[in-house]
Amino acid sequence: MAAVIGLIAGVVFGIFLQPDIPIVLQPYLPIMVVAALDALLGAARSFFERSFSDKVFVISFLSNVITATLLVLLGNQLGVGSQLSTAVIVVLGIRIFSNVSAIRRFIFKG
Amino acid sequence: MPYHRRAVFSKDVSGLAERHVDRLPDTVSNIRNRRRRIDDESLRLIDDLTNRSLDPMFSDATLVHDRRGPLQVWMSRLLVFFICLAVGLAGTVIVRELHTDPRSKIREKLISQVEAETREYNSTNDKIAKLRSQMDSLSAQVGGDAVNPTADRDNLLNGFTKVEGEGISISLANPIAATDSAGSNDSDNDNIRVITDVDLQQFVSKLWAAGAEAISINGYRVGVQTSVRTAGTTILVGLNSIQSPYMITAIGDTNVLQTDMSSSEQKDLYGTLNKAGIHPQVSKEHMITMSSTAGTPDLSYAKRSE
Repeated sequence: MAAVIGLIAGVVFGIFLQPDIPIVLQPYLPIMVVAALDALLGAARSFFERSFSDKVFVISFLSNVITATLLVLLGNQLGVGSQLSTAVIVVLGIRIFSNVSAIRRFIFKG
Repeated sequence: MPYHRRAVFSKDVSGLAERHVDRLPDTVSNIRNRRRRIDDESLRLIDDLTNRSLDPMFSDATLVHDRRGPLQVWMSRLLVFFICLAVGLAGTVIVRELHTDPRSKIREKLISQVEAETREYNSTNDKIAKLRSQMDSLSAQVGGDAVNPTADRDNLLNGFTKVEGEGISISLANPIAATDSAGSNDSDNDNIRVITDVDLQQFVSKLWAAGAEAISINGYRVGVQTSVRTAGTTILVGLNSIQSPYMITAIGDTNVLQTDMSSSEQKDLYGTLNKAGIHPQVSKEHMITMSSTAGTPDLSYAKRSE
């Protein structure tokens, strides 16, 4: 419940406050959000499977975001930033899709 | 069958060890599972992604009993709330960023940078002028010699002080055809000859040659380090942009200047300009007042030679 309220409040704040993010973070923000979405959907799925644990969620969220950002950072330093971010997006995208389909099966029982 | 322990760093690992699944007797499904497992070894990543997309730690967490106090539970809930808040916020920021034109942002940034630089330049110039006047007043107090003739002459020559006197003024304007088509972005516009920085440079150097003592273009004094150049489509005198019509004023012997700058004396210069439809007008002036140059000359390399 806290997660849903937090998400909605975040979107509302983002729309009304229009915060400025530092230029340094800008290239990494999309990948961070995708990693965060993956963690979020994993948590949602575990919630439906009745195995949700906020401790695990926090750990998986932080590790996801930090790993994705570091990978892209490393890729940028090596000159393969866009390729590495594609790799991250593909892996996280597959996970997001399979998690969403699992959630869908829970909701629609089909 | 070997079983994998997860979370070996957790203190609950001893509790987990007792909960592994025993091997089932060999049934048809089990054999199929085994084959599948072997196939999986080569495509471990894809299999993990599609079949085990959920973090295994979630299912592990259910195996151990939750022994947290209510405070810890609320703290973690709060943490989850803030994380979700951050995700929502970041998501909206990205969407907003993608919808704004980054070029306009950069343009605004560059504009503000230019404005800040100009402001700093102006304030520095003001400071220089103030310090100069302070210096003058202080030297007047100390030396009693209010006017140092050499310094005064130098300042007059290099454009540090305001000057006035008789002289001539030359006015030039772009041909009417150029001003007419200035608004439209015609390709014909390129063929029309307009006044360039080179024309102004020629006039200035011819005026110096004719014995002019001070020159200004459109009110901007030409000092010792003042350049007349083009930046894009505008002509700059020093750092100030000027536009047609151009008015070059020069202080000096009126008669000599007028004779030297007349069309009969400068046939080549006037010929090319007249062909392009530019007709410079030279007229005598009884009194011309010129301001001092905006900047002060910087000397970094030139040293006094003993």
